[in-house]
Amino acid sequence: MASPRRLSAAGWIGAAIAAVVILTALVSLVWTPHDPTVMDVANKLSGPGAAHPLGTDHFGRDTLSQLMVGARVSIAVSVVAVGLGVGLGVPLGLLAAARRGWIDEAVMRFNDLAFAFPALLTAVLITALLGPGAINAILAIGLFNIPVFARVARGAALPLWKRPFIQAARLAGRGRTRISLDHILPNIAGTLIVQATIQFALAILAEAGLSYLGLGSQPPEVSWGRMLNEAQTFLFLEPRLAVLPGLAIVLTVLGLNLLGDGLRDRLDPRLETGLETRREGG
Amino acid sequence: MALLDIRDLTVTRPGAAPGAPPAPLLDGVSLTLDRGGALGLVGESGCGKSLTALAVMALLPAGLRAGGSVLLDGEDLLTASERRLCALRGRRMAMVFQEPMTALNPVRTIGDQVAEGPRHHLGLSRRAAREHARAVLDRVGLDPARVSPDSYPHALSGGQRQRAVIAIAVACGPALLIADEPTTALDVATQARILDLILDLVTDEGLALLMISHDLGVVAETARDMAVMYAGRIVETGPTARVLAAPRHPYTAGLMAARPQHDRGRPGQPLAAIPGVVPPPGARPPGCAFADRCARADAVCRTRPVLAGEPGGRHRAACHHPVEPPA
Amino acid sequence: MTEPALLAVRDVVRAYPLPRRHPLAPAGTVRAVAGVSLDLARGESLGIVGESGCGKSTLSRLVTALEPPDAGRVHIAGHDPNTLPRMALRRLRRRVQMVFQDPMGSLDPRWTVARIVAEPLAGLAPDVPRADRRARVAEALAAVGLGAEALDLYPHQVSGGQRQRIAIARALVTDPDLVVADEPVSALDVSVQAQVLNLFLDLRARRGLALLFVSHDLDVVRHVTERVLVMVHGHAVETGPTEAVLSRPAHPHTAALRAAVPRIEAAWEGRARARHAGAPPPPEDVRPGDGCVYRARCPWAVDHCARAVPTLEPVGPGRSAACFRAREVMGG
Repeated sequence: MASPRRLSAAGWIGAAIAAVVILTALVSLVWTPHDPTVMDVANKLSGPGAAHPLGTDHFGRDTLSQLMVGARVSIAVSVVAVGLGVGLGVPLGLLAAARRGWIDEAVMRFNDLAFAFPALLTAVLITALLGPGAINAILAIGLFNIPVFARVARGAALPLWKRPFIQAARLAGRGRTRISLDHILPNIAGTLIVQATIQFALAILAEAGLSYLGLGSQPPEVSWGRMLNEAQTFLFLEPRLAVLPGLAIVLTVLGLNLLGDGLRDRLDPRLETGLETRREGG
Repeated sequence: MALLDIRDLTVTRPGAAPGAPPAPLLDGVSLTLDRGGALGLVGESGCGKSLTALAVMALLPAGLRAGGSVLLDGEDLLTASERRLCALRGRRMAMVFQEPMTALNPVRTIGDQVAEGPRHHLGLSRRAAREHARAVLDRVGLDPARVSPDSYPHALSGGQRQRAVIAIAVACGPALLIADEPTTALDVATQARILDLILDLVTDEGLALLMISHDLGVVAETARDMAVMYAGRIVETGPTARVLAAPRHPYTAGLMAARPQHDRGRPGQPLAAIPGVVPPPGARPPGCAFADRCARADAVCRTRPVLAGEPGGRHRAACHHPVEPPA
Repeated sequence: MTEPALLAVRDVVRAYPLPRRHPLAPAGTVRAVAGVSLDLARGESLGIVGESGCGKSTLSRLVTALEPPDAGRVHIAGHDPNTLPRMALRRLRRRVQMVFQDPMGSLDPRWTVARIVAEPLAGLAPDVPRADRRARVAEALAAVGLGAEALDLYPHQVSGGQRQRIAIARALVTDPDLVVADEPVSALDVSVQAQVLNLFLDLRARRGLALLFVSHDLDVVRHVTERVLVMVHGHAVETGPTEAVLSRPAHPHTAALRAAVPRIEAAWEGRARARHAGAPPPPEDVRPGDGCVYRARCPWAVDHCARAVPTLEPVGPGRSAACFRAREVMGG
């Protein structure tokens, strides 16, 4: 039998980056070098130094503290948004695969409709309509994760429904809901986890984009996107203020993508290689 | 000189954990196949028969290490360059696989797939290769008038797909055809027709056939000589008629007794199953690998490795206590 | 009043849609099972044989009520599973279980053996307390020759033969009267196949289990079943005592299947290639009500076979065949 394969080197790097970001966000809950919202006009736009390891912005707020708290906002928004997508999309996908017929058609046509709109532009529209703010950003981003997870869950579940162990479960008197939860879900979990890391990276980007446009989290809330937004005035005067949050976003997204690819290689049975023999020995 | 001469072929898999000893998958396999001959290779899953075929085609999975030699027309395939092997595969030696659906490219027509070899190996023009492919498909029973060479694999039945795979294999007129469980995925009636086809090709084109199967009946019907493999070793070899009429190795005898037989044996009575399971590579006992499942085994069998019978004899068994031939 | 037959199947039909040749083409259907009847008494064994695509697997799904028939009736112990309310269907399902061909595919790779074997209890036998389930599972595993140490293993940790034993244990755990086995040994090696066949024989002898055994391997069917039913293109063409049918076939297709089995004796007697049946025509070419379904590739076909449809007629004690020339086929 296949021995458990290990995560690739790139996967480990991705996992390490993700861990650092999460750890930073957790630490920021209890400790930051300075209060990220307190202004210190005397020390505005100061470069990196002993008091402020990464310097201060145009109000004299500590950049390192802002980055740490920003990680928290980015992660919180993304987690809730992806959670929304998983929480509603996966059940829809499972339902479509289990029922087929008109339910399947309805779910999939709704998906097609959702995919027909450019996600970020519609998110802009939604936040513009509902008003800016972190909660509305979560709604807007989460909405577009629903069809993604519905499609992935349905696609992974459909071939499973043809497998004999599902027929055996039906002979054992199990209903479609029970089979979906007990048999299908654990077997597609790997695929879903991989998709979730990718969506997580996209959500971080989307949140940064919305905040940059002024439609996400509002001052005095701090987020990476807001930091970029505020830094653009000083782009040539103090590029550090734009580069640092930009770097944080790029690194986090890169890390999550690496982790996603690593997990895909590790978990996705379709990529399994090696000698396959149909006959089985005693 | 034999067409195919496998001498003392070993294939090892590196240890799973660093520092673990490598596990031998094939252990001293020697076989010869003459031009136009037919050799059957029998054994159960994991015995190494498919691995032997892959070693001959120089298509061993990455990470496995091969030792010994595999001579095709006197040329060692284990040391040949990849470029040379590409020139030989499909041209001088070809293979038919167990699952016709996975052996075919689902997005290309069968005519296209059959024409690929002749274009590459025989340097035929596109048009000539297409004509050649039609002729080959007709030869294997896929009459272009009834089954279009422009069909895709999914439109064919299981038997037709296997015919297409055979057409690809024989398109360049190879000297050696390796058939690895070619009928295992098919039902009895289709199996009989595919075996008919393979035998016709062997006779008409003078192909040498290496028929790999778990089914003693299939080997009996297609191969003049046979070898039985167990746990990576050849345990018995000889003319098929003699091996099957009077098997000397207890494993061969056990395989024959385990079959439900239509003329022998009483329906409803227990079959003579071989107890236990095949030892996995790396956990094979120092002596005879079959000793733990063998009713004739004694202390010697468990400790002393067996040599392949009296050398020189045509029918040989690797056993300390071979079954006596009937007087 | 006599007890109703354990299994009575009357003229069941099951059709599947064919892929359309182009979007506007009329949706054709192919009848995978085209009017088959069979009876099985308690403790009896029946083999169903035929080529791939003859409808034998579909028939086994109809019998186990995994699919409803489009026409005709399935009765299990006098009840039609397709009209029963849910609770009654569960009670009925306890009496009919199934073993599938692919031992790996029929076990959920993420479940332990204990949970897999207990699933029919959880779904069908709410009266068995949770606490007793493990004991019942261990009992079922013991019946197939597996010890309690298998309980907490996953399917990939055991061998192919053991997997099929686990699948059989799952089928036995509700103490059924009938087990439907769809090609249960064709994915197994010869020596392991013998172990599993012995297990079926043993279970029949000890538990009085009725067995519906679907297989394309005539030697295996001859060994484990008392009666046999031969199918071609969804039709039953011959039925009767296994030994009699397979040793002296009355239908040309049975004869062709028999001739196709590879024989060890061929090593010294030479290969007999007398009457290998031609390949089956594509499903869309097999039309009902158009003479005998087998005539296109039948060496015995005469003009009459194109004009009339043969029905199952008695040809011997307990035997019947759907062939106008059955007596000649038996004689020759």
